[in-house]
Parts: sequence; structure tokens; C-alpha cells
Amino acid sequence: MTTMDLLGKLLQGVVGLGAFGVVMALLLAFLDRPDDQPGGWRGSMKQGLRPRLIIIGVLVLLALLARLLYGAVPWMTQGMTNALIILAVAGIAVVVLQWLLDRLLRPATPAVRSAVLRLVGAAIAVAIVLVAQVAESIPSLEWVTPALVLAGVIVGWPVVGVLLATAALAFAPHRIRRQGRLLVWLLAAVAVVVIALVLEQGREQPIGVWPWTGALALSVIGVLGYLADRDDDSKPMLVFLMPAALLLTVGLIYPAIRTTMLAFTGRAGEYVGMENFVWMFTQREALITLGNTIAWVILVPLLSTAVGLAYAVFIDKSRGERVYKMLVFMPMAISFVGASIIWNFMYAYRGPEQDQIGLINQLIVLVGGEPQQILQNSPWNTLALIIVMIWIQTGFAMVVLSAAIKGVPTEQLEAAEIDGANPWQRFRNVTVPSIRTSIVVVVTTISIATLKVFDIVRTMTAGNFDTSVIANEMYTQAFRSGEPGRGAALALVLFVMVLPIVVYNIRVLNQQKAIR
Amino acid sequence: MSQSQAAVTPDPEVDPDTAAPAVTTRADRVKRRLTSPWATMAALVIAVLWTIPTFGLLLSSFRPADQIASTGWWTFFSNPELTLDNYTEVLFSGSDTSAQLGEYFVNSLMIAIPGSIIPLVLASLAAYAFAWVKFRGSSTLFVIVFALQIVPLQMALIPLLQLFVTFVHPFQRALHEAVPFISDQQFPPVWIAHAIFGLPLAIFLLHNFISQIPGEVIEAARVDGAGHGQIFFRIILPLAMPAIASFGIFQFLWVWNDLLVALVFSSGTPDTAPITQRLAELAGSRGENWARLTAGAFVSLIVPLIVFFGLQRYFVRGLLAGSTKG
Repeated sequence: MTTMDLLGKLLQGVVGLGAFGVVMALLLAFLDRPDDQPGGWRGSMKQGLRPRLIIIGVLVLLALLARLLYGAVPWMTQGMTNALIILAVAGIAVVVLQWLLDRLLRPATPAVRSAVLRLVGAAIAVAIVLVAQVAESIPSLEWVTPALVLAGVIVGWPVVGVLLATAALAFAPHRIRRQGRLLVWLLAAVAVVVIALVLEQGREQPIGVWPWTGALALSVIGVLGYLADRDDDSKPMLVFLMPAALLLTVGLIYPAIRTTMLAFTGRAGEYVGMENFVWMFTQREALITLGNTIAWVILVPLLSTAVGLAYAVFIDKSRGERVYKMLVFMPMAISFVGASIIWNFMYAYRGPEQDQIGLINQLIVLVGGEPQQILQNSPWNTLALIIVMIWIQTGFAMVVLSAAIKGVPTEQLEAAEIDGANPWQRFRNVTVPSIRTSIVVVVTTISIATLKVFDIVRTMTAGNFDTSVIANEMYTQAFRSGEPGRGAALALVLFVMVLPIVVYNIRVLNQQKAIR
Repeated sequence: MSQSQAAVTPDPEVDPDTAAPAVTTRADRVKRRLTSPWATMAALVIAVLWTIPTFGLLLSSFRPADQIASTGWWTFFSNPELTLDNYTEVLFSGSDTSAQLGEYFVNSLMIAIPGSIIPLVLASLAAYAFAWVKFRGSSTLFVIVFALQIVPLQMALIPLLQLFVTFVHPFQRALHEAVPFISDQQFPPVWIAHAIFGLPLAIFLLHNFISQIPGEVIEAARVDGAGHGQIFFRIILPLAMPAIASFGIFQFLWVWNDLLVALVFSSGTPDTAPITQRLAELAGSRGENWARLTAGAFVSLIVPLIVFFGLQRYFVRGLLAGSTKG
């Protein structure tokens, strides 16, 4: 690793977090406009002048520095100098524009302000779309790919339309404005899809399905805006909620829907009906994968909860409870990959004539057996992997259940003791019933984690020797064998398996809440 | 992804360490009689069983390479010999065949820190909106966000990757062209993916905590003329710090320990791949080179273990509140 590499990585972090910070700051600037401004023209000029001057100063300094360093140090290339100067000029333009707008709009009514801001936004959007069209011929914009240009056209024009229409609606009465805006946004979403479909007609290469993402994002903006526009009190919700809502729609809801559709397609993206599922339930390897997953999801939650509960009871109120807890809890902090290596080492195999280096095989030899290739002998190798997961999850079960046990009313235990119940009966009839919800939560949580288990199998056997599970097979099919349809089908099955557990979990939590 | 379901947050009152009464009461004695010498024995056995694997690896990582390969680590006690060579080798050796974990370690940090900060910021904003900004449909939206936890992240991988290739890669190329020493392979896709996958749970947990802040505090601030922005920064953030800290720790550990997201969204080269990915690769291709693997594994464990032992209070508290209280 050279110093330059390290610098590059750090710079990425700075640029990334910086860009994120700027976006968030711009967003939050929409909040809290103080009503008590110092009066008069001079006062309003001065308002917020200092921070803007500082920003402009920093930008000028940046551009100067870039120009000075250019030619003086090898790493300040021409491209970088140009980029920095362009960045500084653009930044100064934005600051000045924003200040002017702010100054001009201060006396205006909310309707005028909203209309002007939307018009400015529309102008910027038009500029971006137009520049993108001719980006190929501009030297520093070569990186703009045809896909980005296309996206600019497909999403850009509807957005411009929306901004213009909503600007006009700003002067309409409240009821009409609110519903009109929602309608406009939804229409724009439809327009995105329609434009994409029309453009797709004349092309050899399909556009892809991402316009649907754009349409979803526009509808989310529309709906949130509709909800927020009810009264002045609910408007700030937009600022707080919009980033998360957009990210979740584009990054989670849309992909989940896509994956569901993908599950019914073949290698080249053609529709194949239920073929992927037929494959899953007929092929030997796929069936073994399903069987293994079921073995995992039965054994891991049961055993780790049982051991965790027993351990929690044994160490309850004993001396050194903290240390005891820490020892068993520690694997929770370790990565699955780390745990896999730890256990690979436990299972390590050496020929019978050599000294064993793995503890398990050493123990086998000690009691007089032959050393085993533990990770290669099916079906015991799956059990060996399951033990790793139990080793990790027991600590979690123990900590949660231990806290629950401390909450068991002592009066009940006392009463049971006076009635002559022995320790086992007290545990069975008093402790267990009162920590039932905690047990349910622990079992369901571990079940879900187990269903999704991937790292352990990937690291220890990569799914060979009949040890694969659904999550691992999904990765192998989708990203290694080039069968995204099968991968998607496996992901869908995983979803179906997780669903009832989560629903049950939510119901239990709700009941518990209702009792309180 | 392991424990995300359970990492439920904070109830300031639940602290398992102080929950035990200091004075020995009669009830205490009743409870104590549950633990017999046999139980203590069993607990001891479990504790030893659970510790031995890690201990064996730690001890091995300090033994000379030829000894690791030929004798079991338990022989150390009859023939003690320690060395730091394995660590120097995996971290700093420049040769092409070595593990070069130093670089991957930096990558892990570069992924985990923004990968925790971004979702925390977005989630605390959203959680505040759900808890204290009144708007119609608030509870419906919240239920939808909660329900998103059902979606296993496997469901999102393929389409998300396609989106990144179309829309994020061009910008990465532009950055690479403008600043040549920033590699063509960059971290943003991994950050964004982690942020997305962490958001639903983060919003849910932080909402649980933020909505428990007494309404009078916020009402008082509003009467004094504070807007939502001021309330959020001056009141909510300081009060919710314990919750944010515990979820931050969880998210950090989750991102640090992750393998799947890294495999799909990072380049797999020393430019962006985190240490877990490199270790998984080493375990697969050089499964028998235990000198490297043991030291390498401990390099990757050291950060989570420091976080775990240093911030255990937050860690346990974060784990508990949600699982035992709703």
C-alpha cells in the first residue's frame, strides 16, 4: 500500500461524508426560518452574510491552491486542477444565487416564494438535461454515459413539467392545490414510464427497468408532499423524512419487487414461469440445500436457547457473574468469518500418522478413534457448521434471558418454596412462565438470523460437500453461475420462510404492549 | 445481519449490572438456593467450552509458523515459545503472496465508519418525524417502514447492483479521472448499500426511544418559539444520545463483520474489499496456512473486541430493551 493509495481512500471518505453533509445541510436549511428579522434593507442584507462570506472565501482559497500546486507537485494533475476550479466557481454561483433569492423572497408571500423556488428548480433541471445531451463534446464531462443522458431525458422532462405545474398551482386555493399537486406528481411518474416505453421502441438495446425506479421515487415525493401539505405544522416532516423515504423506496422496495419478478425469468431474462421453482424442488443439490436450511433453523434456535437459558440460570446471582457472562457473550462480537476460521482451526485434520493440530480430532484420537475430515463427511459436516452458529448465538440468548430472569417476581419464587417446590419445579413452574415472551423473542430472532446465514457456510465449505444453505446457494447461483433467476427464486423462498416468523414476533410484541 | 432483529434499543432504566439489589434479602437467599454446586460445575464447563476455541486461536497466532503446522496449540504449555512474526507477516509484508491485511484493515474502517454515520443521521431524522411531527398517515408509514425489516437483504442484491452500475459508476469514473490517485473502485456503493439495509431497523429503534421523551419538554420548547429544527438539534439529539450510541455500535459491528454486502458491492480488490472478504478468501484458497490465518483472524477480531469490551454497557443495553420490553 502506498501513501497515495491511503490518501486516495481517506479523500474518498472526506468527499463522501462531505457531500452527504452538504446535502443534509441544504435540506435542513429549509427548516426554521426565524420570524424576527432585523428590520430594514441593510439588516436583511446582513442577515446570514458572514457564513456565506466564509464559504465563498474557502472556495476561492481552494481554487487558488489548485492553481498554485498545479505544476509544483506531481499529483496535482490538470484534470484535478480543472475539477477543483470548476467546483469552486459553481459553489460560489450557488451561494450567491441562494443569497439573492433569499433576499428577494423575504417580503414575498409563501405562495410567491414557493412558485419562484420551483421555477428556479425547473430552470436548473432544464440546464442539467440540456448539458447532458451535449456532454460527449465537453472535455471534462466524458464520463457521462449514454445511460445517464437517457435518464436525464426520461426523468428530467417530467420533473421540469411537475415543477412548472406545481408553481402554477401555488396560487390556487388550498384544497385544489393539495390534490392538484399530488395528481401532477403521479402523472409525472406515469409519464416517466410511458416515455421510457416509447423510447424503447426505436432502440436495439433495451433501456432496462430502472425508469420504474424513477417513477416510484416521483410518486413517493408526491405522496409525502400531499401528506405534509395539510397544515403548516406537518410541513417539516418532508425535510426529516424525505431522504430516508427515497432511499428505502429506491434501494429496498423497488429491488424487492424486481427480485420477485426476476424469480420467474431465465438466464437471458426471458419469462420461464415456475421453472426456477421446479428446479429448486426437484434437483438433488437444491433439495439438499433446502433440507440443510431446515436442519439449521430447527437445531440452532433450540440448542442455543436451551444452553443459554441453562447457563443464565446456573450463573444467576453467583460470584463473578459478569465474567461468566462476558466469556460466553464474546463470540457475539466476532464476525461470522472470524468465527469460521476459529472453528476451521478446531476441526483441522492431519493424517493418522501425524500429530493432530485441531482440538476435536485430537480428542477423537485420545479416545482411540481415527481422525476425521470433519468438514467433508456429509451429513456430519452440516452439524459441524451448525455448532459454530450455536456457539455464536448462545451468548445472545443468555444475556437476554438472564435479564428476564432477574425480572421474575421474588415473591412468587418464595411462595413456591414455602409450598415445598424443589428448585426444578420452581424453575419449571414459576421462572419459565414469567419469561415466556423473552424466550419467544430470542427463539424467533435466532431463527431469522439462522435462515439468513451465509458467511459461515461460505467461509468454511463454500457450500461444497452437501453443506449449502439457501442464502449461500442464492449467492452462488446469482453471482457465480450467472443464473439470476434461480438466485431470485431462492431469495423469494427465503422471504416466504422469514415472513411467518416476523409476523408472529410482531404479534407477540403487540400483545405484550397491550398488556402493559 | 446476525443480530439486527434484536438490537432493540434502549431503555435507560434497564441496566442489568445495577439491577441486582446490593443488599442480601430473604428473596435473594431463595434464589441462591437454585444454584447448587452441580449447577456451578455445569456453568464452569460451558464457560470453558465456549472460550477454548478463541483461546486456541489467540495462542496459536503467537506461535512460530512451523510449530502451528506440526503440533497442537496445547503443546505450548510443555514447550512455550512465542513470536510476533505472524502478525508482521500478515500486516506489513510487501510480497505478493502475503495477506497484506494492513490495506484491507484500512478498507474495513473506511467502510464501517461512513456505513454507520449515514444511516444513523437519516434514521434519527426520520425517527423524529415519526415521533413528534404530526401529520396524517404517520402511523401507516411507520408500519410500512417496520415491515420492511421482513425483506431479507438477499432480495435486494441483484437489482440494487444493476442500479449502481447504471447510476453510481459513471460518477466514480469522473472522480477517478479528476483525481487520479483515487482508485477507479470506490466505497460509495458499499456505504449506500449498508445505509439502506440498516435504515428500517434504525428508524424503528430510534423511534421507540425518541417517542418516549416526555412531551412536556418539547411542548415547553415550542412555546418558547423553537421550531422543529431547533427542537431536533437542541433537545432530541442530546437526550437520544444513549440510544444513538447503542445503535451506532451495533451498526458499526454489523458493517465491520459483514461479508455478503462486501462480496456483492465491493470490487474484491485491495482498493475496496474489507478484511472479512480477504479472510474468507484466504480461508478458501490457503486453508492450511494456519500461521497467516490465525494472525489474520485476530487482526480482524481486534476492533470488534475493543468495541465490545470498551462499550459493553451500551452494547448490552442496546440488545436488551427491545427484546425484553417491546
